[in-house]
Amino acid sequence: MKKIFLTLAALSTLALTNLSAQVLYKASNAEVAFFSKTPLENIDGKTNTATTLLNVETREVAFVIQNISFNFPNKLMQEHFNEKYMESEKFPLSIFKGTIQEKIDLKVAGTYKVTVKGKLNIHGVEQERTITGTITVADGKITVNSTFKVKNADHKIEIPSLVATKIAEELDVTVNAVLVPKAAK
Amino acid sequence: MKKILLLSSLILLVNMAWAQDDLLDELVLENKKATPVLATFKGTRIITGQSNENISKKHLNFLVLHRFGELKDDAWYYSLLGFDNATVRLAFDYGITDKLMVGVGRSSVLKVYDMNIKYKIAQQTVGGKRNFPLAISYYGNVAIDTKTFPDLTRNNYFTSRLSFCHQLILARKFNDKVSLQITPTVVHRNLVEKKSTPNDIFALGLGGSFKITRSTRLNIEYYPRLNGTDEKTKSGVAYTDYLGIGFDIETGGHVFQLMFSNSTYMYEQGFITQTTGKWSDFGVRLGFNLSRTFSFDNETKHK
Repeated sequence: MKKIFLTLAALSTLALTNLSAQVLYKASNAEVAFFSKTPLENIDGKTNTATTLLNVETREVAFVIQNISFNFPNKLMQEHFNEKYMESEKFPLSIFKGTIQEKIDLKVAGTYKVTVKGKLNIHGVEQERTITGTITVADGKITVNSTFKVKNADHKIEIPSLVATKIAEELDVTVNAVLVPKAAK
Repeated sequence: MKKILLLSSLILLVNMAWAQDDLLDELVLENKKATPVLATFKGTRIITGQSNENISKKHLNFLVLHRFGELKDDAWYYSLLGFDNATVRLAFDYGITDKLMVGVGRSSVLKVYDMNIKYKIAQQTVGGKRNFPLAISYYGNVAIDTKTFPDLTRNNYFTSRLSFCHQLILARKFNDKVSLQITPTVVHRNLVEKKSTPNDIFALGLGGSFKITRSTRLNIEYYPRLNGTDEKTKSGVAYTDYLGIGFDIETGGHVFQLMFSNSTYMYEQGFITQTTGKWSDFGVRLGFNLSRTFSFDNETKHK
């Protein structure tokens, strides 16, 4: 009986360390930036506190960004971004969760072109998206790079006609994250 | 022994379940942080009096404020709603830090220069497990009346030209639509008109802002005095409490504030203690504030 108990206990411990230390990769300082280009004005916001988790076994990836962390050169734009467009007090987070479609082994070093299918939630409106990017596995780190577009209208972000000439209908988003093995709790 | 067996199996099960937990849960929890409430009011002023808002670090605000003549003075078309008797205040505000703002201004009424400082003591927060419920700021100014002294035969001192104002600004954004503010105020005049006139006037400012659309708001502001309420001007006109009602219209870098109020003054000492217009007999003025913000923050400019 004791043997069974010991085996079970050992298994429990093994499960804990195995799952938390080697399967999950994490970054809390991912860079996410967006650009709005119009002939009249260029607007760019950038954050380097985006959080992301990647499960190398299920190939699931998740990004969560606090909207208020986006930094603008012009603080008035930053206030408008949060107050009028993102409504950050109502919808504080922008969220993406998806699964890498290619059956790649993320434990093997290399650079992989990936297609991630999932849900993008901005301004409280969820959209099914397929986003492409690059994943580099090297030196125990996983680097995720991606550029994609976000349409304001897709997420019910209304731009008043008065400033419609200054804000692009479609924003370019770039993501740059370096994930490290998540430390065991 | 059976119990232990059960327990260990349970631990194993919990571990497995934990591994299947949604990746998002942890990230969402991690991002649940208290952040400062934004845009309690649209401008650094609710109407004529200060709001809890500052402008950001290394940002310059240029203000043009106008108060027209009283609507009852002439037929509206004769002076175009008081336009011909307009008074002006030009001012610059500058954010030294995100919490500390300094400003200078010049009013055409009484040729007054004013210098002011506003400091954010505490910010209301939202989104965290524990949030701070109130924005608290201090505002102080000194006004210098540069008009020629009325009696040049007297011993006139420079200090007689000075007056001061201190305010504690307590503001709260209740929801997306409604913000309210209470502003205990003391105004000190070094020289007053009569011996019986108190040098210090206390007032309790009340202000509110109501969002109409994303870019427009309705504002109300009232500064009842707590003492010296029976004071009169030299010509015997009673001073009244300041009351203003205005609209904010925001267009990108500009905030345009259009208002009706009973004061011609655009600095605290003036509109709190020297207002003479009466809403009850249409002694009301049209006015507007125009503010334009410029960013001199080159550090955060992205390449």
